[in-house]
Amino acid sequence: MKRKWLIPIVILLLFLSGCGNEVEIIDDISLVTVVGYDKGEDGKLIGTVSIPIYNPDFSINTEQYTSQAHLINENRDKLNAQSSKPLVSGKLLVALYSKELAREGLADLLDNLRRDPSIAANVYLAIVDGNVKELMDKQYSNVDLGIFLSRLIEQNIKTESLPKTNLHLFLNDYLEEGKDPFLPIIKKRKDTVEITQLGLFKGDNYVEAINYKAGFMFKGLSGNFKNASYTLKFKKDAYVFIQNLKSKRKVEVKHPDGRPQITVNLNLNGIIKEYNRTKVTGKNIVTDIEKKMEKEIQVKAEELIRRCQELGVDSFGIGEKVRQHSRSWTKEEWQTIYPELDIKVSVKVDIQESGVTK
Amino acid sequence: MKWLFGKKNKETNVETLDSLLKELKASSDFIHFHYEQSPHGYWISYFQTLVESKILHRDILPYVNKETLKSLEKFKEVIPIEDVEITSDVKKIKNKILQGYVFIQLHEHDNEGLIIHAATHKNRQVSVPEVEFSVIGPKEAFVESVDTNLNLVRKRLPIPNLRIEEVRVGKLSKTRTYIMYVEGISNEENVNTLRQRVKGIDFDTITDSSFIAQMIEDNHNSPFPQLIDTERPDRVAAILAEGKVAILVDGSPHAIFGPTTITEFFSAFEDYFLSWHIASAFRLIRIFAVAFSILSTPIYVATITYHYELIPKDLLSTLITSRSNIPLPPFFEAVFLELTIELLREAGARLPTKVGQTIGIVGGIVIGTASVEAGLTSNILLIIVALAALASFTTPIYRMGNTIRLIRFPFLVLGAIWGFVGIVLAFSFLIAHLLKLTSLGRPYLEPIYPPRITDWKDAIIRLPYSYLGKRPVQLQTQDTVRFSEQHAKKKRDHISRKSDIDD
Amino acid sequence: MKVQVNDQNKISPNLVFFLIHAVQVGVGILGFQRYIAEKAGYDAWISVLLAGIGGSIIIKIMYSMLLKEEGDLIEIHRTAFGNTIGNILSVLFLIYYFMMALAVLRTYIEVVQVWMFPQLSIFPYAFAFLGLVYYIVAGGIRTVTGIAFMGVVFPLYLILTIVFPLRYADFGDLLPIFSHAPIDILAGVKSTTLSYLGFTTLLMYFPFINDKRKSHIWAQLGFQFTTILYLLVAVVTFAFFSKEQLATTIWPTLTMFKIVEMPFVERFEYIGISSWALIILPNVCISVWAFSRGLKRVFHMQQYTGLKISIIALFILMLPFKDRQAIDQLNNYVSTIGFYVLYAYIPCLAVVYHVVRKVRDKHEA
Repeated sequence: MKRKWLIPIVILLLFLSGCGNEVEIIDDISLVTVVGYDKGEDGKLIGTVSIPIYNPDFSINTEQYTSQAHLINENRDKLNAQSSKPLVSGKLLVALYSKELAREGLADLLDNLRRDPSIAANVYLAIVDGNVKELMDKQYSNVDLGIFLSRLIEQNIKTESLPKTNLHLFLNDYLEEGKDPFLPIIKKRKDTVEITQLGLFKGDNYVEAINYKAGFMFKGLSGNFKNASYTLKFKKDAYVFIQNLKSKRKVEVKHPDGRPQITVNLNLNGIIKEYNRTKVTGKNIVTDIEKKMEKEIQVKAEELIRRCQELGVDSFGIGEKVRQHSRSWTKEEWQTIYPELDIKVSVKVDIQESGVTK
Repeated sequence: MKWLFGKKNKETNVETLDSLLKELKASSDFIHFHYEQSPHGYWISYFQTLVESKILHRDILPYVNKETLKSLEKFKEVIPIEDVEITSDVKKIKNKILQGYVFIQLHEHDNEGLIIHAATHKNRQVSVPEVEFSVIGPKEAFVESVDTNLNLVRKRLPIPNLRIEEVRVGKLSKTRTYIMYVEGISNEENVNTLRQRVKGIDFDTITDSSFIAQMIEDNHNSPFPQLIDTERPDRVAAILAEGKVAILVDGSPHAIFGPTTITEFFSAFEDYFLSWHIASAFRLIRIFAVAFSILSTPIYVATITYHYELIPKDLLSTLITSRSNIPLPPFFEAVFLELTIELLREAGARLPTKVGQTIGIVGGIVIGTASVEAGLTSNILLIIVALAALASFTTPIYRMGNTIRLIRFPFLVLGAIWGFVGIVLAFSFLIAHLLKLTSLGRPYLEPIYPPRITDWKDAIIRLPYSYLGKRPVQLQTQDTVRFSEQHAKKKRDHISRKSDIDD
Repeated sequence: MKVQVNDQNKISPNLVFFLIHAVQVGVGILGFQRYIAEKAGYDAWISVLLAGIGGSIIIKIMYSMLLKEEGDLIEIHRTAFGNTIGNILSVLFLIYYFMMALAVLRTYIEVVQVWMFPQLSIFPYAFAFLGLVYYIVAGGIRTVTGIAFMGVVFPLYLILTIVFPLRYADFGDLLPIFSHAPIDILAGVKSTTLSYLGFTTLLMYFPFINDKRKSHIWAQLGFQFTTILYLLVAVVTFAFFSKEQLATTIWPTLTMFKIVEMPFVERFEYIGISSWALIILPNVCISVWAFSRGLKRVFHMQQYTGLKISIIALFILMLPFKDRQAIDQLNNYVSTIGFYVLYAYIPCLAVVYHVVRKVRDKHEA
C-alpha cells in the first residue's frame, strides 16, 4: 500500500506540533483583569495588575502585584516573577492611568494595548483621581475588581450619563482629524469607587476635567442618546423629572463669509415621570416645561462648548463635521480658528407623554 | 457466473452417489437407513435437523409404505407434495439434501433416487421494529426468513413492475440474495451497478445483509455507510417507489438500499407520518444534534486549552472553579470521559437488557459523580460529554450513529493540537471526504453539493406531500413524476376554498 | 483546437460562480482597506467599484478567446504564439498560479501566528493543510469545485458580523466624496488587485464546464458578488476606523472582528480567523489544481505527478518567508504581477490571438 508511510509521519507530526504551541490552560494562568499605571521615579512606570483568584467554593479574591520599570512589558516580566502562574492579558477589562501620566500623554501607553492581539477592543479606559495602586489595592464587593469596574462604567453608559467609551473609541477619536477624545475619571471613596468627572483630552494629553453632572450635556453634544433622564427646576420648589429622553444631534455647517458658521441642533423628546407640585398648574404646562427646558439646556450646552473652545479641545468632533463639508480643511488651520468660532446651539424639546395623569 | 463455478472442482469432489452418502454420513444428524416395515423396503436419507418431521411422517412415509409397487414413479405419484423429482444428478442431490429434502432410493447402491421437499421452516414471527421504532405508523419489521420479507414488501407494492432478482452469494453459504427494484422507475444504471457488485462478491459465508453492504460500498475506507439498512418493510416499499434499489438477504432482518445521500441518514421514517412542520423541526434537531455531538467536546478542549479569551466573563469563574483541582490536561480529561461513555455503551450493548440498564445507571450516576468528586474530571465537561453522547443516539440509522461517535476523536486530537484552527482543519477534511464519497456512483452530499434546489424539498426539511410530486433528481429515475403537483394543488385549493376572508 | 475532457468530470455552469468567487476572496480581504486608503483615502470605495468594472471587462475578454478556441490557456498560447513560445508563456503563467497559492497560504499562516499562536511551527500545520489540499485536488475538478462551493457557503455567516462594527460606524467619515484626484483613485484600483486576483484560473478549468456559453453570466455574477462584498467591507471599514487608525492597522477586517461580542463568545476574531481556513482552502486548491493541470498539458505528465510537485514545492518554498516584510514583499510581487497580467497581458494576448485566428481562418478559407 502506498499509504504505509502516512501513519508514522502523522504520528511524528503530532509529537512535533504538540510542543510547538503555547498552551494556556484556563486554570494554569493568571487572568489579568485590571492594569493600572502610576508615575514612578526617574521616568519609570509603576505598574499594578489585579488578578481574580477563583476559590473552589465559588468565592472570589483578588490579588495585586506591583513593580516599577521603564517599559510596560518589562514591568510585566517583573510581575510574572511574583506570580505563581503566568500572567496573561487576554481577559483585560479595565486599564487605569493616573492623572499625571494622562497629562503627559497616553499614546505610548496605549500602543501596547493596541499592538497585542490578545487584548480586546472594548477594554474600558479610565483616569484615576489619586493613586492608582491605592485604588486597586482593595476589593470593593464580592466580585473581581475588573468586573466591578467594568460594570460601573458599563452601567453609567447604559443610563446615558456617560458617553460611550472604550479603547477602540478613544483611539478612534484620538486618531481622527478634528476630534479629541475624553475619558471618565474615577475616584476612590471610602468603600467604593465613583465616577466623578469627565477628563477632556487634547490629542492624547489630558487637559481639564469637567463635572460629571455635565456628562448628560456632553453626551448630547457628542452624539445621540436614547434613554436619559433629566431633572428640571420648573418654578420655585417645583421640580419635574423627565425620563426616556431621546436626543438627536445635527451639526449644521455654513460658510457665509468664508468662515464656518456652526449650529448644533439638538432634538430631544421624553416623558414626564414625576412632578412634585401638582397644584402648580397652568394652561399650557407641558409647553412651558418644554420652553424652560430648551432654554436651560441651550445655556448649559453653549457654556460647555465655550469652555472647550477656550481650552482648544474639540471633544464633540465639530472639526470633523466641518471637514466632511469642505475639501480644503487642514488640521493646523482648524486649530487656529476653532477657539474663536461662533458655535450656536439650538434646542428643541418635545414632551410626548405625561404618564397616566394629566 | 464465474464466481460460482470458479472453484467447482475442489468442492464437488464427490463423483458418485455412494461416496456422497458416505461423506454425509460423517455428520451425526444425517439419517441413512433401510426402511423395512413396508412391503418392499427402501433406503431413505435426510438431515434430521433440516427436515420437518411432521411432513415426513404425515405426508411421505404413510403413502410410500402403503404403495405396493416398488417403483420411484409410483412413489412420486402417491406422495401429496408438489416438489418431488426423480434424479440421478449427484450434485443436485447433494444440494437438495443440504437444503432439507428427503432422498429415497429403492436399493442401497442405486444411482437414481427420489428427492422430496420436506424442509423445516423455523422462523421468528413478524414483530415490532426495534431499531427504527415509530410511535405511529406500521409496526411490522423484517424477520430472518427472506420469503416472509419478500411477502411483506410485495404486498405493499402489488404491481407487476416490481422486479425481484435472485442471486446466490457466498461460496459456502450460498445465501439467497434478492435485488428489488421497480421496472420503469428506477434507473437501469443503478440496478446494473448493484447487480454487478453483488455478483462480484467473492466470500465464503454471507451471514447478514450488512456483509453485503460493506462489500459493495463505493469506498471501503470510509467510516460513513454509503447504503442505508432498514428493518421496516414499509420503508423499503417507499424507497422502491421512489426509484431506489433494495437488497434483501436470506437470514437477515435488515434490507439495504441505495443510492442514498447523507441527509437520508438523518431522516427517520417516522418523519413521513408526522405533519411536515414537525417532521422538519425534528430533522433540524437531529442535524443540530450531530453537529453538537461531533463538535462540543473538541470545542471545549480547544477553548480551555488555548482560547481562554473568548469565554464570557460571567462564565469564567464557573469554568475555572470546575477545573481548579483537576490534574489532567483538558485533552486527557476529555478522552478519559469519552472512553468512559463508550465503555458504558459497549457494556450496555453486550449485556442482557436488564443488566444493561443497571450498568447504565451505575455508570452514569455513580461513576460520573464519583469522578467529579474525586477531582478527576470537571463537572462541566461531564455534562458536555454526556450530552454529546446522547445527541449521537438521535441519529435514526444505527450505523451512522456509530460513525458520528468515531469521527469525534480526530476532531478532539486536532483541537487539542491547534485549537480552533485544528477543528476547522478537521472539519475541512470531513467536508473533503464527504465531497469525494459516492453512493452507487451518485454524489453522497447531494442536494447540498451539487446544489439541487428541487431535492431540498425532502432532505434537511420535509415539505408537505403536495410539493413532493417529483422523484429526487439524484436518482436519475426513468419516470420522474410521482404525481401531478398541479393536480394536487388544485385539489388542496378545492378543500380549503375561500373566495374572501368571510363569505 | 478543442480540448476534450471526460463528460464525467464536467461541472455545471452555475458552479462557475463559486469557482470565480472562491478563488478571489482569500487573504486580500483581510487587509486591502489599508492599501487602497493609502492611495485614494476614503474615496477608495470608488476604486473598488472601478476594479469591479475592470474585472468584468477582463472576464469578457477571456471568454471571447475561450469560446472561440474551445480550449484552455495552453491551447490559446499555442495558437497565438506557436508551440515553443506558447509553452514558455504558459509555464510563466503557471508559475504565477503557483505564487498565488504560496502567497495565500503563507499569509494565512502568518495571520494565525500573529493573532493566535505566536509560537506555531509552520511545518506541521503546513503539512496537514497541504495534505488536505492534495486529498482534494486528487479528487479532480469536481471535488475542487465542491470545496469552492463549501468555502463560499459555510463562511457566509461571517458577513453577519458586519452588524457589530456598524454600531461604532460613522458614515460621515466617507464625506466629502471625490476629495481625491482621479489619478489617486486609479492608483487605488491597482492596490485592490491582490484581492481580486485568481479568477484567471478560469483559463484552465474552462474546458471542464458544461454549457460554456451559459457559464459566462455566472462568471460575471461571481465576480460582481466579490465586488459587492468588498464594497461592503470597505465602506464599513472606513466608517469604523478613523483615517489615521486605519493607516496603522495591518488587518482591518480582523480588527473589526475584535469588536464583535456575543453572549456566548466574547472575542470573535479567534473564530473568524479559524473559519478563514475554509476560505483559504478553495483558494489554494484551485490554484494548485490549475498549476498541476497546466503541467500535465504542457509537459504531458500525469496530473498526479504535477500535483505532487506543486505540493512539495509549496512546502519547501514556504521556508524563505520568515517575517512580515518578506511576506509583504511576496504579496506585493504577486499583486503587481497580477495587475499587469490582468490589465496588460490578457488584453494583449486577446488582440494577438484574435488576429492570428482571423488570419488563419482566412487562409484556410
